[in-house]
Amino acid sequence: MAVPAIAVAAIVLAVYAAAYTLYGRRILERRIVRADPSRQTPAIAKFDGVDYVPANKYVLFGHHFASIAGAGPIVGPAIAMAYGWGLPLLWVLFGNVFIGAVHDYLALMASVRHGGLSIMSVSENVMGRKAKYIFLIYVYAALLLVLAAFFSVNAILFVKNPSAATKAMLYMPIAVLVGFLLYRTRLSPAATTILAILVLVGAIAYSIKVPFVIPGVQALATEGVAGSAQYHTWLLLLAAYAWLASVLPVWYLLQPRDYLNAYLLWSFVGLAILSALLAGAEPLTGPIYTSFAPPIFAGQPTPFWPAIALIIACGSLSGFHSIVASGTTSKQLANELDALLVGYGAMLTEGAVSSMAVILPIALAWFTPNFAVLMSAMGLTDKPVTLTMPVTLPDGTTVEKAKVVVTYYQAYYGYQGPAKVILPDGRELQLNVNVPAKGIMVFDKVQRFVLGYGYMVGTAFRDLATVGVVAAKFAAIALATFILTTLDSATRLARFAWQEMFDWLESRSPGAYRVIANPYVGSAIAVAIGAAMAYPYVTIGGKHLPAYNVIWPAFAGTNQLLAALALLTSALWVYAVLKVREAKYNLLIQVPAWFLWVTVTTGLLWWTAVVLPRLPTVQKIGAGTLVLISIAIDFLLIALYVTGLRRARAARPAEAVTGGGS
Amino acid sequence: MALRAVGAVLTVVGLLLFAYAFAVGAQKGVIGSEKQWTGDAVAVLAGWFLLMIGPALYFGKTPSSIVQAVGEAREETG
Repeated sequence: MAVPAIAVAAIVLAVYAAAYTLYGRRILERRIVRADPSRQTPAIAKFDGVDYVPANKYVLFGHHFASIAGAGPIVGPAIAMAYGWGLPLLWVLFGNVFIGAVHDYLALMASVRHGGLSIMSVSENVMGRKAKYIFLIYVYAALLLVLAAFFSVNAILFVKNPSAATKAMLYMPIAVLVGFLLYRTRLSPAATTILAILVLVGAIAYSIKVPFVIPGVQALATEGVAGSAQYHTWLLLLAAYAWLASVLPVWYLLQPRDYLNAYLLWSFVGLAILSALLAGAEPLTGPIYTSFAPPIFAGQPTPFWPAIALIIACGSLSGFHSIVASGTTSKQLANELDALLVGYGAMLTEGAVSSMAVILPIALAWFTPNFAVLMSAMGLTDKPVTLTMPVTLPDGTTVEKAKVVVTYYQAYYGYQGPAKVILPDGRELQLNVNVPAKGIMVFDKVQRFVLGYGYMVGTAFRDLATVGVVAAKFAAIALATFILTTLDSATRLARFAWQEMFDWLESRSPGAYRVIANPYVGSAIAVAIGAAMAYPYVTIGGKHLPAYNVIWPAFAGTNQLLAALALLTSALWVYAVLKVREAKYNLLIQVPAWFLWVTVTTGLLWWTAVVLPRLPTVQKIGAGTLVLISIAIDFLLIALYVTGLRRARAARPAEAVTGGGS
Repeated sequence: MALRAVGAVLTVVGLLLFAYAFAVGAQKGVIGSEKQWTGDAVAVLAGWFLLMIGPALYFGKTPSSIVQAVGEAREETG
């Protein structure tokens, strides 16, 4: 029996509501952290007008949410639909409630209680000085990789979807205007908000109608790579933007921009929830379960456990979140009681993006006759798609990996008949083929999300041809927004990590420290390295790809390992510094933290044994080296963690380490 | 004072460039061209940066509303 969309939507909403009030508020906020509104936060105590600036909790929610939500909550679940919709949904819900949201909230509060320092520096207090610097170097390297990836993804997005470029051009000046209205005029916040939303809607409508294209600087083009001049030009412009945005005071651009973001993103999530509820009895046409190990990584059977942690990151849990929470967010928190909404709530909202705006819509649009209406309205019906599948030649032999060219319509619904076939040796033939119905899985991961979202909203409002298309375009714009905001936040975070990495120099050579820790210098170094990793093209497996792809396959593992280590650090902070000794509360944090550590470490070892050998040589070397370093750091930090835990156990309460205890 | 003047000039120039480019874009249905650099494309890019830098130079200091809020919060939290 097909499950109705409304049933899944209701369960998801009930789980999140219960988690927020019962676990988040009653246990984490009141029993464990004991958040205190009368305690000065770093934004107040260390106010500097640039990075340490208190923000309204809804503005800060917008900032935190927009920064932690890159492409991860969308792309990961879209890939994981290969397991069917049941397992990914379970992982998102379980990961959100017991790991991701706890991880984000505790990282935020640990940082707040340590003067706004990063979770890496917090580790010094509970695991020793060595842990801090190892952790900082590891995170800084990861941030540079994030920067490279986001430079590249943004540049490609602007080349391929010029409407996203128009929106980006309009968005930043509008954000500056909103900041002006919010902070420098007597216009009420409500009036400012209404005005801002109207301007934003106008800007989005304009962007959809009027794309912004550039020819690029031809001198920058890479020979033999189509569109490389545009790519390189956008990349350099984005590097300049990221540097500028990361050194400007947060009240000037970051806070108002994220205030705007919040409305855009809430609209996006809200429309998904509303549509899921309105879709009502519409059945989910996708399978709840396909296989425990479908081919995902490098075409290899990919077991749900432990690989799921490497596939779904931000939608469930992500180490990057702890860097944001303890980086930009903790320096803007005005009141400790705001932290639950910002830290725990934003993670649940991101989970809602994965569950309600990605998994549910794709499951709904998986295989249904009405999907043809949306495909037609989007101009996809007759668009060709190349499938890799076995074909039988006229002489009766079977070629396992032939390329078959059919239309998206034919691939979605299945097709028997003549089609162009390209054999591995390059020969092109016209053969009769039998293409099984692939449903929505025929589309790439981003298209699955965009079309699924459009289909769900269009179905809910009974108009796939117009509402469905507009919703699909809106989804693409929301994704672009997630990506661009992460870029300059990551630059600022890399600067913070850089500054903390050299804090030992402050007492030894104040002059040198002033130069190295200078915000303009710190951001420039991060931007230069990130852009340099994304700028050149290299040949990987016969394809021209931006250079960071040499090591990118290792990112999922390193990021999730960071989540495990950050959660363990937070758990130790709860035990050693907050002195929460009740077993039930400690186990509630420690057990998920260790479960995550075991899952990610096993996942990395599985990835190294099964996936790495099948990657092109250059990636074997690049990504392989990074994974091996990650595994080494993993065990080193775990050893320091165990030492810290023993020390905390041995210490009498009066001797427990300081730094934010009650 | 000089910085404020520079900021004001950059902001006004940025606004003019933006107004020009987006008006042209509305007429043509596209801003810029894939074949060659056009005035509207250059105007958008220049205006983008000018409108981020200009107001920052013009206003300079942290808004008094934020400074006041921090002062009050410090008093409340001791």
